[in-house]
Amino acid sequence: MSYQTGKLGVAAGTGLVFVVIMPRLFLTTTSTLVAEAGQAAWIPPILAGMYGLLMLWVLFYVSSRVPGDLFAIAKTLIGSVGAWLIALLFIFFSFVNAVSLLRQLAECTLITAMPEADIHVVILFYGATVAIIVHYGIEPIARAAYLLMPFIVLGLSVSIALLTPYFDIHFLLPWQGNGLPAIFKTSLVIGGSNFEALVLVALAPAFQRIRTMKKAALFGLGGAAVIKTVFTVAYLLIFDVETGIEKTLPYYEMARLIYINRYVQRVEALLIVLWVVAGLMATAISLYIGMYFLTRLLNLPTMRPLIPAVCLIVLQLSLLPKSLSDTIQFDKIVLLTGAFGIYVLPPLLLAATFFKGRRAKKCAAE
Amino acid sequence: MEVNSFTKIYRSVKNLLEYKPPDTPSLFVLGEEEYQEDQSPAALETRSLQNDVQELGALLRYARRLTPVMEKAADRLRGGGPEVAGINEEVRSLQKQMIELEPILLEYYGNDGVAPIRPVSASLQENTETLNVIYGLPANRDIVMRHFVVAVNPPVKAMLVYMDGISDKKLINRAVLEPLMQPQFVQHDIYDKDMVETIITRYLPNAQASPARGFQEVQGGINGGDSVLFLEGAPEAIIVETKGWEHRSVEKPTFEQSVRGSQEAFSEVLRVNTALIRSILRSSDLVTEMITIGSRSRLTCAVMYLKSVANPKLVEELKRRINGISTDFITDTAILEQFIEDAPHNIFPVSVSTERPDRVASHLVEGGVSILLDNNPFVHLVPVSLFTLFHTPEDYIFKNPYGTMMRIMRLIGAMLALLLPAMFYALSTFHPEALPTDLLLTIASARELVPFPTIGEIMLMEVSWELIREGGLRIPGVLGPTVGVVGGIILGQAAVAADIVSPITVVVISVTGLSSFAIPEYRLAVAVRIMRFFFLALAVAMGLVGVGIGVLLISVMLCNIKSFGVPYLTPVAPKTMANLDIISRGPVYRQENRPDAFNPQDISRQPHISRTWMNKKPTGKDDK
Repeated sequence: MSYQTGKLGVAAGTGLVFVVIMPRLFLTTTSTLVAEAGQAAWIPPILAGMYGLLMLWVLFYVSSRVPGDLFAIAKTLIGSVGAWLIALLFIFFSFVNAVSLLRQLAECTLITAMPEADIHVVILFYGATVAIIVHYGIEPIARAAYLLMPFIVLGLSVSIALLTPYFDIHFLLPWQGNGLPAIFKTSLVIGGSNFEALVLVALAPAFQRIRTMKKAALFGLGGAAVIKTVFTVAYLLIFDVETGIEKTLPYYEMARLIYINRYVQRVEALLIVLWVVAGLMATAISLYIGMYFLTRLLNLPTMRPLIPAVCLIVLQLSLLPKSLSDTIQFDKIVLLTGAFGIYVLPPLLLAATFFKGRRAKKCAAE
Repeated sequence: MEVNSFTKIYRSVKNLLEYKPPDTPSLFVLGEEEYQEDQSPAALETRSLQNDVQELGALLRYARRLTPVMEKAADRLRGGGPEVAGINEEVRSLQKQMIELEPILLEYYGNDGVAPIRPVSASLQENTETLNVIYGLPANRDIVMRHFVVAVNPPVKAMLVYMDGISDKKLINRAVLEPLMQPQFVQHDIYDKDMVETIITRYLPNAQASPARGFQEVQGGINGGDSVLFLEGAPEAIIVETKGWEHRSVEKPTFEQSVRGSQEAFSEVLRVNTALIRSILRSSDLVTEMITIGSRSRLTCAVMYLKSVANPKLVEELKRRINGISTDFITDTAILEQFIEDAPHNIFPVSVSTERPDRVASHLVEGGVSILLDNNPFVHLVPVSLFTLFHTPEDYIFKNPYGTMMRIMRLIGAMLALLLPAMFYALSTFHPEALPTDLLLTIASARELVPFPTIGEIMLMEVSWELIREGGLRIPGVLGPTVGVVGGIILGQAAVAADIVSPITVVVISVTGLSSFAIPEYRLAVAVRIMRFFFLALAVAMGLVGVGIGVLLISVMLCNIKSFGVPYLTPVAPKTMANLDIISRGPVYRQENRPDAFNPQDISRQPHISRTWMNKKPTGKDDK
């Protein structure tokens, strides 16, 4: 079967998880976070990361008991219908996530880099790029993600370091922000963006062993959570809550402030490359996961003929939202779907594992 | 018939207007004949059988003619029968028919379509006829057939065949003809034992001489520069090594020069090249396997590896691919590579092409395999990673900080060669705010009088640069580089003076061009040149966003490439155990392992503490 995933190690797994989770940081999520949690907006990313890791550990436990990829695990534990439903959830989330990311990226490109361009052209360009990337398969994608990861981290770190003159520690106070319930609620919702981290279990046979996946999850998801937290802290330190809510593109707005001297200034244009690369990579990974489940679901021998058709559909769907604000609202629905997936699916499979195990023991005793 | 005036006028007007091609002979065109025939399996089988029937029928008719002639000859020998003159006439006629039937006979013996594999005959005349057919004699003047008599008692007729120009005539005279024709051997009797064996073991003072039973071996010997000795009465020939064609001697490297270290480069002779490698890598583990490639020109390809280090699967796969090539002629190792690599459409080289024996030796020690081809001064090393293509022998000769610094410079050069024009265009056109104001003003003022858009300027300069480079390569002798430099300076200055391009564009393209020369592997530099235009196109379309997309696509593409089973970006992606010899070049005593991605049989190059003297007391310390 041509959609077999090749061999992935810790580094490739880390890159895969990190890159698929990170792009929302460059887009609109930080403003939403600040709006929901106030001065404590930096806490939800770390909490969401912890939830995500917990859920992944649950799935790793299930994976250690039942071999195969997520579809095979679900089929063994909850039957064909259950496996179908899970696959459909993944397909739905992956495709709508790709739609949302593609549209947000296109909108951000128009705002920041190419104000006179037509959105159709930009989306077509991005869609073609994503299709080419998916065509290569997950092994090169994961390796390229690992290759790009240091540049993303370095770019963010340098921009935060260059912004230190603008930091005002008082902007973090009061530290509880909008209150603990708001923090927990927000962390649960934005945890939906971590749903794609389940790619590790979805492609479990590609990894050498469970330990490999655990390390990849820890470095990928954990690293992303730490970076998101640091970034949100920096964002709050530069813009207070009132100003922070107003910014549509937090990272771009931060980068615009950079001024060290007349030679190091207005570097936001250079940093566009960073978020475009990360965003397109995440879109490609998301599409790959969706198509992988589609291929498994329909028991197709190969994935490649699906690529142009799926990319074309996703491309057209991404043109449906009327404006950026509509896209942001759409993204919230996407995150809620992801949250449903990440918080429901692992406990469900864990319960099924225990139930199956108990029944097996009972049968053996009889 | 009378024609009326209206018809006359009509015809004259028609003659005036109608085009008539000049009455000249048509040009010679060596085209294919259009031939349609039924290609169904049944039709092919029928045709094949029909051909066989016709050929065997011809042989049968010949045999039917031969039988009465032989009977007449027998009668004549018994004392009766027709006159000898009449029989002679018939025999001559039969000989002519025999020559006509020779191809059919050769095919019957097992002709493979190109090289007959007929066995060597005991008859010298028969062997001569066979060679006439194979080499198209007497039209082909390259083949020399020297008839002589071996000075033994009783004398033996012999024939020496060799290819003029690629065999050493002095050696033939001294090591073949002289010993066999000298009268002092008259007393020797070569008829006691096997004649061929006796001559090889006792009379031929030559390093290599071997018997050949078939004409395929004979052809291999003659085409390779050896001489073949046929003896009357012996159903075997003797191949005597007399190779000796004009070739370059071992010279200094042309493309991989170094200030220090070895100054030897490969030449066109395969055996000289293998010897150069062996002279550096003096190991009994070093294996050289020979594979013959090509059905028309059978060139020898050598696969060299260290038996106890190289991964046997890699060696097997490489040999499988080389053996699996079905073509008539391969002229270059680079062409051979295109036959055996996984993705020939990929523009990045998946092997190192080197002319330095020391580099080959280093690669073999790391567990790699080298491919050599006869008549080719470049040896290909596989497998490789992209980072290997940035290495040069000098990195190892000088101390490690210099090696690391030079590698970083080459990488910067590659990045500039790839991205500089695209970045310049994107920044100056799409994102001028990212440039310092002074620089922006300088660019704007320089471009003020230029009548073209920035991309027009860049393309003008890029095309000019490529033309100068290509022209410099094609102009013979020392004029080439001179014309290149002079052309570059004059063209650049004149273009700026004429306000066709701005000075900043000239600077950008010049730096880009110079940077591409910093890439040590020529084929990689070519790939970077091509990719530069791809990046430029993306930058024109979407500015820095386009450049970002290009970076992303090229990253995924490079991650997808494999060099004979080894990922191209190893040990970075996938991450494998590095050996302090990727971008930074660590101290030699700390390079303990061979590249992990090669999966060598023996991963360790040296122990953790390779400088064992460090653990011992210095000389003279005991005295104190």
